[in-house]
Amino acid sequence: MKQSTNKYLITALLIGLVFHGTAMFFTLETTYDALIHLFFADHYVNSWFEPWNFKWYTGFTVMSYPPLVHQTIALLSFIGGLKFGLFATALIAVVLFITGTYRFSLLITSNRSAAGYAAILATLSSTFIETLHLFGQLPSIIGVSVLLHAMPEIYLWIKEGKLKYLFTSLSLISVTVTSHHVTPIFGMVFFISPLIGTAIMDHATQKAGTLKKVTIRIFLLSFKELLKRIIPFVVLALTIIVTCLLPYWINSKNNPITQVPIPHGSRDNFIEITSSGLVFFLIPWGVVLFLLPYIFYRYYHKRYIFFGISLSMLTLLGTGGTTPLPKMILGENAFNILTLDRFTLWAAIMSIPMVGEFALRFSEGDLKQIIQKRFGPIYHRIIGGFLAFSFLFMSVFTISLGYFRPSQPQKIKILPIVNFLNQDQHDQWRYLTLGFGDQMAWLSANTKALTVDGNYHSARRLPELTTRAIERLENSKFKGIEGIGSLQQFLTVPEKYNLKYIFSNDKFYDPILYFCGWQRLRQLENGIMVWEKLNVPPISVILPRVDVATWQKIHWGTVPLLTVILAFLINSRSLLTRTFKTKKDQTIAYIKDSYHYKKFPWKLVLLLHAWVLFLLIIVGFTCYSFYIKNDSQRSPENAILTYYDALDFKRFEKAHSLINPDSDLPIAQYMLQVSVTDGLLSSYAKLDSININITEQTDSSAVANIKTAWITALEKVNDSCFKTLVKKNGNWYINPETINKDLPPDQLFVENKPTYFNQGRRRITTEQTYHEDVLKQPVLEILTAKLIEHNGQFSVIGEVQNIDNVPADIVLKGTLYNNNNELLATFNAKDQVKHKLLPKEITSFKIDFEGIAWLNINEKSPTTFNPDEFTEIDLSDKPTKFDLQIAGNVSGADLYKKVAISKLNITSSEISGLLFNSGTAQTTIPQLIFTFYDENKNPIYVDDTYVIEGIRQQRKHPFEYHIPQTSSVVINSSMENCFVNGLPNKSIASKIIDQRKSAIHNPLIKINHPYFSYVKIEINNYTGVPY
Amino acid sequence: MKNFVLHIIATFFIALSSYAQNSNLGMKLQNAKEEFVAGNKIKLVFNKISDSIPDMYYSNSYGNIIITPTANKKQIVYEVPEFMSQKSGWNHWQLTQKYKNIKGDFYIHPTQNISKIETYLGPPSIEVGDKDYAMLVVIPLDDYNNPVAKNTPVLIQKKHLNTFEQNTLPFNGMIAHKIIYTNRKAGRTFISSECLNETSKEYTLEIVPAGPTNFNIDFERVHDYGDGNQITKFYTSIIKDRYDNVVADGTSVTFRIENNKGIYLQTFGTTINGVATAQMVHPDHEDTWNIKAFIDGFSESNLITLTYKNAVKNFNIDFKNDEKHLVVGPFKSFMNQTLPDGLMVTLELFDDNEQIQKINLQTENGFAIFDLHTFIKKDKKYIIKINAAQINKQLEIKI
Repeated sequence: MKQSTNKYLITALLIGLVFHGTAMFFTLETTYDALIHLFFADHYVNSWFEPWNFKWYTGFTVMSYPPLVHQTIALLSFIGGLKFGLFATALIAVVLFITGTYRFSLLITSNRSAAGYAAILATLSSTFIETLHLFGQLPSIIGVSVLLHAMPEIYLWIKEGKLKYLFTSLSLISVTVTSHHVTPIFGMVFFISPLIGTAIMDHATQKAGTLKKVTIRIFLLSFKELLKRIIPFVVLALTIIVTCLLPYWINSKNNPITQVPIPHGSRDNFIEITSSGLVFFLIPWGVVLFLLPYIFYRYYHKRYIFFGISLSMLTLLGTGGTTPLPKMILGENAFNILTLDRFTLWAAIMSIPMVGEFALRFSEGDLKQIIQKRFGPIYHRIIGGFLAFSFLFMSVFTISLGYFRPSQPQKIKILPIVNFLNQDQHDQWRYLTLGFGDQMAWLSANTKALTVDGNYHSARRLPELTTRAIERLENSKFKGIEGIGSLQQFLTVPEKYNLKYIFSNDKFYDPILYFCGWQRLRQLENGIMVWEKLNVPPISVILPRVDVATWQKIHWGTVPLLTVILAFLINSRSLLTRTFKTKKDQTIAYIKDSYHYKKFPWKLVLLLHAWVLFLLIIVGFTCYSFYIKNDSQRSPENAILTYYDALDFKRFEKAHSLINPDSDLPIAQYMLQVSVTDGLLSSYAKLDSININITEQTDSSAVANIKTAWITALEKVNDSCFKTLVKKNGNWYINPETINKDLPPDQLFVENKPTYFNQGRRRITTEQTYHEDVLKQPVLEILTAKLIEHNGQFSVIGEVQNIDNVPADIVLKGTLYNNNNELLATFNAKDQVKHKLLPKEITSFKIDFEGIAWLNINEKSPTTFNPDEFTEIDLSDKPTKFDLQIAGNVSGADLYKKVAISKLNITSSEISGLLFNSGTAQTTIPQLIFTFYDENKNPIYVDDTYVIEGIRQQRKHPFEYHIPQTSSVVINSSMENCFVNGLPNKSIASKIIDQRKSAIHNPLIKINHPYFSYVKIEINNYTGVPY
Repeated sequence: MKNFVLHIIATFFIALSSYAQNSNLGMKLQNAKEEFVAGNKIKLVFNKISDSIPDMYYSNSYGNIIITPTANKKQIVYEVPEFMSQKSGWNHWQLTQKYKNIKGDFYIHPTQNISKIETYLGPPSIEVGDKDYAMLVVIPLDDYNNPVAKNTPVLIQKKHLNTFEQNTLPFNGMIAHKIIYTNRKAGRTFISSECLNETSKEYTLEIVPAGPTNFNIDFERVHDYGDGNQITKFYTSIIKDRYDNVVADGTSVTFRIENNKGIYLQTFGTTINGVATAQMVHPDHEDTWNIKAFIDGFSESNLITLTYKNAVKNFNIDFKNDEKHLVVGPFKSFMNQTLPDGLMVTLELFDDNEQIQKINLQTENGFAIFDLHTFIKKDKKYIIKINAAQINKQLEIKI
C-alpha cells in the first residue's frame, strides 16, 4: 500500500500558518511576555557571549532564563530586525506545535485519522491561542512542542530498544531544556513517566497476549525486563537537563531567587475571582470541558492508566487556589513560586489526542452510528453543529480577548523617547517608565540607556524590589501598598540609583512625582510626559557586575544552538522519510493500520449528555447571576455601584444615565460640571473599595451612606457621603450632587508673575558645559533642624530658607547616627517639604526614615493599601545624632504660590477653614504643611494634609485637618552637622545675620493644645497644567 | 696612624679619579645649550667612541621617555620628539647603561606669541555691599599651550555701570589672579583680560541685591462690605535692600491678616520691580483686619487696618411642610440687591440634642434650599440650626 501524506495534518498546518501567522501581527506585541523575550534577544544581538546585562535592575544576568528561543530570535534578527525574528520564531513555534501534537496523538491513539483530527483541533484550541496570542509564552510553547516530538522516540526506545531512538529522544530533550527549563522537569513527571508506564503495559500485553490478561505480576516482570532501557534513558535525560543548562543551574545556586512571592491570578480561588477563573481555567480548557468524561474514561483505560493519573494531577494542580489541595501537594514554597496555569496548559495538551479521537468517532465512527441510531441523524447534526460552534466561538473569543479587554496600555511610539535619551547625554542617567506595561521591554531593547525597573522579576537583585511583591515599578498602582511604597522609595532617593528621567504615560503618578520634588520637563510628541529630578549625579563609567567563568560564557553561547543542530542531524533521516513518505512506517510499533474502535458505550453517551447539561446549567446560572448583579438599576446598591464604577472608568455618559431624570440635569450640563472638577480624587485616584449602607429605604426613595476608599499615588483617601435615590418606573436613580456655586467677582483679571528660563548650555555643543554656563547653586540657610521622636518613629524636622535671589529646587538628605557615631539610616525628605522655593521663601520639612519596608519577609505586611504607611528602618541602636545635607539648584518650575487662607478656625483638635485661590492658575492638589512649635517657638513637629479637590481661579474651598494628640520628643537640636551645598550652615548663617532685621516666626498662630503652643500653616500647590 | 690616614686619602683620590675616568668614557655632548624655545627642534649630538650605543632617558613636565638615537660613524644624535620639545619648563636627560653618569638639563621657554587666554571667573554672581567678592584667574597660553613666561604683564579691565577700571598684573606662579570686590550698586560687571595683544572673551559678573529692608503696604478694594465675594488687593511699596537696590524679582512676601478673632489669615505675593501684590477675598461678615506683610527673617511692613461692614444683615428661614424643604433666604446685599451666589449656609439638624445631620450649601439666586425629606420622620420633633454670614438662627419643626 502506498503511504500518502495525512491530509488532516496538511490541513492543520495550512490553517495554523494562515490563522496564527496573520493574527500574531495584531496580538503578539501586546502579550505579556513576547516583548520580554524580544529584550533578551536584543541582549544576545549586542553581546552574544557576555551574559551580564546593565539595562535592567542596575544589572542582571541573562543566565537566569534558558537562551535558545532568545538566541533564535537574535539570529533571525540579523536578517530582518528584532520583530522579524520574533514573528519568524513564533511561526516556527506554530509548526512545531502542530506537528508535535500530531505525533503525540498518533502515539496515543495509534490512528492516523484521529491524530489528524487532533492536530486540526489543537491548532484552533483555545489553550494554544491563549498561550501564544494572549500570554506570548514562546519558550514554553517551543519547549512543550519539542517534548511532544520526543514522546514517540522515547516510546520506541523503551519498547524496541534500538539505540537510534535513544539518541533521537535525547537530542530532542536537549532542545526542550535549552528552550524552557521547567517543561522537561515537569515533563519527566507528567508526560514521560506515564509514557514509560504505557510502553511497559504494551510490552506486557505482547507477552500476555491480550491487555486483559495483564496482571500486576506480568506488568512488574515487563518493568524489570525494560529497566535496562529505562534506567539509561532516565539517567541520560537528567544528565542532559543538567549539562545543557549548566550555567543556568550554577547561577540559580549562586544567586538564589530572594524575591518574595508575587501574587499571580493562577493561584487565585477561581470561584471567588471569576476573571482569573476565566483566564486560567475556562479559556485553556474551553470546549474540552464538555468532553472531560470521555477523556477521563479513555485515559483511565487500562493501557493509558498512567496518563489518567497524570492528567488528574495536572487538572487538579491547574485549579490553583480554588481548593487547598494544590497547595498541599506542591507545598507552600513551590505553590507560591510556580505559576499554576502551566498545569492546565499541559492537561489541555494531554487531552488533545483523546479530543481528536472523539472527533473522529463522532464524525465518522461508532459514536456517529450510535447517536444516529438512537436519536436520528438530525440530532447528530445539531450536536455536531453545537460542538463545532462552541469550539470556534471559544477560539475567536480567546484571540480577540486582548482586543476587548486590553491587558496593555495603547501602543506607544517609542521613537521620540529613544531620541530624547540620545540627545544631550540624557542616557548618562537612568530612566524609569510609568504606565507603559510590557512595552517598557521594547523601549529597553531600543535604547542604550539604563533603567532601574525591569520586566523579569526573577532576576532582580535590588532589595527594594525583591522584598516587595511587585512585578514592575511602572505598573505599581495595581499592586497597592507594595507597589506605591516601593515606587515612592525610588522617587525619594533617586540619586542612589542615578535616576534622573521619568517617562510617564499615566497621570495617576503625577501628584507623587510633584510632591517628591520632580519637575515636568516637557511632553514628547507621542504624548509621554518627561519628568526630571535635579541634583542627581550621572552613572559612573564603570559599573559593577558579577562575572562568571569563561567556559560558562562559551557554553551559554554555543550549546543551545548546538543542541538544535545536533537534533536536526540526528533526526534528519526520519524527518525526511516521514515528510516525503519514502518509506512505509507501518512498521512503527505504535501505529495500527486499521484500528477498529469497540462499540461506543451507551452509558458513556448518557453520561456525556448529563455532564454537558450540568455544565450548561452552571453557565446559565452564572450568566443570570451576572445579570442580576450587573443590572444597574434593580436596587439602590446596584445603582450606586454602577455609578461609581462608571465614574472610576470615566464613562460619564453611563454615569449620567443613572442620574435622576427629573433633576433637570442634561448631559451637556453634567459633562460641563465634570470637566470643571479637578483634584486628587477626580483626576488621580483609583477606586479601591466601596461600602454602601442603605440607611433608609421606602418604595420610591432611599438614602445611602457611601464610604469609598480611593488609591492615589500620595495616600489612601477615605471619603464618605450621603446620596439620595429615587425609584421611577421600577428603576433606581441617583439624585445629583450639588456643585460649587461660588461666583468669582472678576470676569477678567490680570496677574504679574515672574517666570524663569534657564538656558542650560548657551552653545550648541556636545562638549562638557562651559563653566560660565553653570549657574551658581542657590544659597539656602537651615534655620532650625531637630531630631525628634514621635509615636516611636524618628524624624528630622526643621525649617529652610532660600536666602538667594533666584528660585531654588531643594533636596534634603538626613542621616542618623547612634552615640558611637555609627551610621544608622539615611533618607531624603519626601513630600513633607516644599521642594521649590522662591527667593526668601521658607519651608518646614520633615524627613522620615523609611527602611526598605518589610525587611523581614516573614513579617506580615498589611493587607490593605496605604501608601503612607511604611516600616521604619530597623534602627539597631537608638539614634542620638543626625546630619543634614541640603542641596539647592536653580529651578523656575512649579512656583505657584497664589493660594491664600481666607478663613480659619482652630480648636485643640482640629484646624479647618477656607482656601482661596487668588491667582490665574487652577491649583489641582493643594497641600497644607503644618509646623507645630513649643512655647519658645521652637519647631517640634511637622505634619501635612492634602486637599482632595482642586481649587479653580478666584474660588474658595474648605479644608479640614486633625491635630495629632501625641507629644513629640526632641532628641537632638544641635545644628553642628548641617550643610548647605557642601558648606557648613554656620558660615552661611553668620554671613547673613546682619541683614536679618525681623523675626522668622511672624505667621505663627497661638493654639490651645496640650503639647503644642503655636502652629504655622504653609501651602504647597500642585498645578495639573504646568504653571 | 698618620700614615694610615694618608693612605686612605690617597686611595680615595685614586678611586675617585679612576671612577671619573670610567664614568664618561670619553663620550661628550657636542652641542651643549642651556635654553631653547618651545617648538624648536632639539637634537643632542654626542661623539661616538665605541660600538655600544646607549639610549637616552629623557624627562620633562609632560612625562618620561626613552630616546633611541640615530648614529653615523662619528656621531650619535638624540632627537627629542616634538610633543616633548613643545612643552615649556625644565628638561632632564641621562644616558643609559654604562654611560649613565652622562646627564644634563636645559630649559625650554614658552614662545612670545599668545594663542589664547584661559580665564576663570567665579562665582558668577555676588551680593552687593562691601564684603562679597569673586576671583578672576587668567592664564595666557602660547602656541603650544604653555603658560607665558613669568612676569609677563596681564591687563585686566572691569566695567561696572559707569565705572571703568584697568589693572596690570604680573603673571606669576603659572596664573595671574585678581580678587574682584563687589559694589554697592546691583548690576552687571563686565570683565576682560589682555596679554601681549591677545584678548580674552567677555566675562560677566552679576552683582545681585542684598536682603530686603522694611517697606510699606497699602490696599485697594471696590467696596467695604463683607460680602464674601469681592476681592481686596494689597501691595507693597518698592522693596529695596540697604543700598537702595530693588530686591530680586520673585522675592516672596507674606501678608498676614489678623481678623477680629485674633486668627491669622495669610495671602502671598511675589515682587516684580520690587512691588509685591496679593489678593484676599472679602470676609462674608462684619470684620476688622490688621494687616502686616513681611519677608520672613529679613524685614516687615507697617500695619494697616481695614474694616468690613455687614453686607448680609438678616435672612428668613421657612420650612415647607409638604415637600419637607427648608428655604433659607432671601440673602440681600448692601443695596438690597440679591447677594452673589456662593455664600456658605450651614444647617445642623438635631434630634433630641443629638446632631444627626450637618449640611453645607451655597446660596443660589439669594436662596439656599435644603431637601430634608430623607432625614425627617413623621411625628418627631427636630431642631434646625442655621448659620450664615455669622448670623445664627434656630427653628423647631414637627410634621
